[in-house]
Amino acid sequence: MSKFSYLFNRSIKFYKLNFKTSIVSFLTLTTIFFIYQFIFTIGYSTNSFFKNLSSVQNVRVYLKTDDTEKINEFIKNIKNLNSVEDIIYYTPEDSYKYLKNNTQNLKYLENISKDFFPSFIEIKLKDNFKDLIFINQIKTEINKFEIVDKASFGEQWVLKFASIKYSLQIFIFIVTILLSISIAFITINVINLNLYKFKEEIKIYSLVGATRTFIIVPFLFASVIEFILSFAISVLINFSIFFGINDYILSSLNINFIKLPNIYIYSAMAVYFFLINVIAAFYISLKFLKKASRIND
Amino acid sequence: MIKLFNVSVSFYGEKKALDNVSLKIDKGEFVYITGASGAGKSTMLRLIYADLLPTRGVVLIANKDITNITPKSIPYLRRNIGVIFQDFKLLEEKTVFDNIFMTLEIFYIKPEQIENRIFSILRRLGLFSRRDTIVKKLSGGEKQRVAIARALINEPSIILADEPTGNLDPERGEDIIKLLQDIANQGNTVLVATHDKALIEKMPARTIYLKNGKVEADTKNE
Ligand SMILES: Nc1ncnc2c1ncn2[C@@H]1O[C@H](COP(=O)(O)OP(=O)(O)OP(=O)(O)O)[C@@H](O)[C@H]1O
Ligand SMILES: [Mg+2]
Repeated sequence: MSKFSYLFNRSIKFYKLNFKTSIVSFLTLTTIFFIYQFIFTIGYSTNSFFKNLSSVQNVRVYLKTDDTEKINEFIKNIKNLNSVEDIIYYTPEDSYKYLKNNTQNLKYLENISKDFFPSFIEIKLKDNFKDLIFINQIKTEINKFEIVDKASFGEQWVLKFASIKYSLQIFIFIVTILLSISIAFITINVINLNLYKFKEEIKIYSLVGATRTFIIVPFLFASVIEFILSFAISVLINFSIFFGINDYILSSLNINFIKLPNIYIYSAMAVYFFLINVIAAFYISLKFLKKASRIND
Repeated sequence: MIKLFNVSVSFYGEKKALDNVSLKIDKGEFVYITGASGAGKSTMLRLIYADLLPTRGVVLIANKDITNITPKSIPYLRRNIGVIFQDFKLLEEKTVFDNIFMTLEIFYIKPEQIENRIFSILRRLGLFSRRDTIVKKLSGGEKQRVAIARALINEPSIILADEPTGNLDPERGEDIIKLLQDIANQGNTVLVATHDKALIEKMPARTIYLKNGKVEADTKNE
């Protein structure tokens, strides 16, 4: 029999022997994961909702001059910024046409002299840079040029939504930290309980020359099995609930608010909590073994 | 087989449990370690199976210095040492067979694979008919024989027994010593810690007397 399958069978045996403790910690973990994913999904949905609202498509720059040479120089410089996708220069004439194309039924525009329209430059941003932090950087960059009169990127409400978005991210971050700590504690407590239950057995195995791998790994395996099961089940519950909300409630109200995180986000979440679980399990087993491998205490 | 050079053991600054002990025990020897309660008998055995590290001095087992043994290599040392206790240290809820099997289980073996080996040691110790009995239901003498079977099954070259007769009536105790002497005659090194003078007189062998952690006498040097 291979070492691995032996240790695996042993961990299944432990899991069964400790069924009562195991089932309690399994339910606790499932609940924690579920609550976390619930909060995360709400946060994620809200975040993507505000992201569209607060995203800045382009920056508009009004100029002090009509000097083509200076303007071309400026365009050349701005094009080099890595956040910039495209630059279009609007002469007063273009500016007039632009306004005309984007408004309807404003007949009086035709009576205004074209000289009144400002010339401006529209800077299209790359997708990754449509966030407030980058916009401010770009704005400072642009304002360094003398010919720039004013750089604008939208309205005040963009800022407001952006701040809601960031508060939400901080909230999720804090929840993640708190849950990480509780998962570590649950893992430590469960393994500790199980180890104490088998203390005599562990002492004897240690006396007859069992390696640390032989003694610890089944407990680690049992903890990992529990983690995988409870995470998988919490994902299932979470999906069913949000699909239910989407299909039966929100869709009938014609709201498309809920956005479930994609597989990569779930995988990252699983890997993160898995690492916490494994590290906590290792820590407590080694600590326990240091004491328990003393035959006479 | 076992060598101690100027070995001292102290527990957190209290008086020394062993004080500058030097001795040499050869392969195939049967040795009593005796002395009053608190003289350091158990401490000496614990040093040998690395349950304890010396505060000072050097301990050699089969010419290997175990003074600075790492936790990782302790199991490999213990696989070559069988230990027997006064309180047996058996799992009371398990069967005789399963208790003995624990020594072999650590090699990732299935019970079926080494059934015959366990049966033969059970026969040798007169426990074959009790193989599926739960240890809790055995007499003291039977329990001690199970503990001996567990210590012997992996054929270690050193057997350590800490008061193996302490919980047995004198007759059963003599049987156990007889058995351990037979094992020594087959080339194994056997150390028995006991304070039972009558037993030593009845079944004499090399005896090391400890007093307050010091070797007071060793019949081999007389
Ligand atoms: N874990 C410990 N912590 C502190 N002191 C200890 C410890 N173990 C043993 N001692 C002390 O070391 C000394 C020797 O103890 P040891 O157990 O070796 O004696 P012993 O000869 O086996 O006695 P006994 O016949 O009662 O078993 C005693 O004074 C004891 O109090
Ligand atoms: Mg003792």
